[in-house]
Amino acid sequence: MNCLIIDDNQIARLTLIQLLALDPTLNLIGECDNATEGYHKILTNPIDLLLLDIEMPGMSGIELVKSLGQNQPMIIFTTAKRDYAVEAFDLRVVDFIVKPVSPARFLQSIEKAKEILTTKKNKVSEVPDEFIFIRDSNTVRRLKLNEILFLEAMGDYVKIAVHEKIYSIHSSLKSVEDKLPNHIFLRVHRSYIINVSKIDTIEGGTLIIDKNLVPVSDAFRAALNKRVQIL
Amino acid sequence: MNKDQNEFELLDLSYMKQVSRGDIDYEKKVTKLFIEIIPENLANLQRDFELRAYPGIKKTLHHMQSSIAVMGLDNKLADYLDIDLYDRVNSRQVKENIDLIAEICNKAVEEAKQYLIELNENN
Repeated sequence: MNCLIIDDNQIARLTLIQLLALDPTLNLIGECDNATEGYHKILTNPIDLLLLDIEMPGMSGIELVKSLGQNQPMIIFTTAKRDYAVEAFDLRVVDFIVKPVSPARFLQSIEKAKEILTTKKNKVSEVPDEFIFIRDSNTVRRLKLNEILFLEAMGDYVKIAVHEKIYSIHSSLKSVEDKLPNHIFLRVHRSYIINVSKIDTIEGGTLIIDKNLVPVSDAFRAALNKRVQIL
Repeated sequence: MNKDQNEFELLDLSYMKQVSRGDIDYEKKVTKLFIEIIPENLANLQRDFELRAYPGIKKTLHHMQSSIAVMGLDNKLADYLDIDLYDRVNSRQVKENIDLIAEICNKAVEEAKQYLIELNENN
């Protein structure tokens, strides 16, 4: 399970890293001392579980969760203050633990997260045809997610490419991205989101998907490399 | 021989040891950070008090909680780190609390320095 720690206190981060080492199935992807940096890490890395402080300078942990939309990984809030518990659970987080976190309490939360992840994975495999609805001229059309090749921002529109056909919808790429599941789609450029399973080849800064060239920008290359797991 | 954690008057290292499970590197890093960060936090508290910048005081106190808890000072400082308390007390009481926090923390930092010397000597 890929984990990310966001906490402005370095001692707290070191302690959480030490606790993560208790379970060898947990893989620390990174640590951030602020929510803004964490937000970008979440969008560019396959994070399953976020260990998140609440009160931090700038964006708070609660604000971060609200801004993530559909891209929200599982979250365990780790905080020194109990006052946020009700608001935190309203955000459908896995757990809310008060620092200092005992190893036993930490592992209890991790077990809870693992159970949720297993259920989620089972649900995904039970639902082969995930889909979205788009407005196509005067018609509302159902598009299967696994048929979408990539999405491209074009001014106030987003082009959705499927095999030999392109649909345009009036929206921003960011708001479409928020509605797409990140286990299928990945942003590879300021103007492009791709369906990872549709990549034919990757060459330098370009992807080929069903004979279409899609640029990959430097900012997203590391995330792409991680995601495709080249053998 | 390592000084037993109970020999410290203020520090209670039982939580740190529970987490470290014998990982001396972790103990050294945390202790060193505590020695570095706490004086900065105390200076911020004094500065913000002089400026009557109460939101700043509350932020610093909140930030200190994690560091203090790992070194086992949370119970000793609980009454003074209750952030909501600072909305109810006058400036004289705020000053008294800050001075008490500083007194306890400065002493704890000296104990942490002693502990770090022992960690370095024995490992």
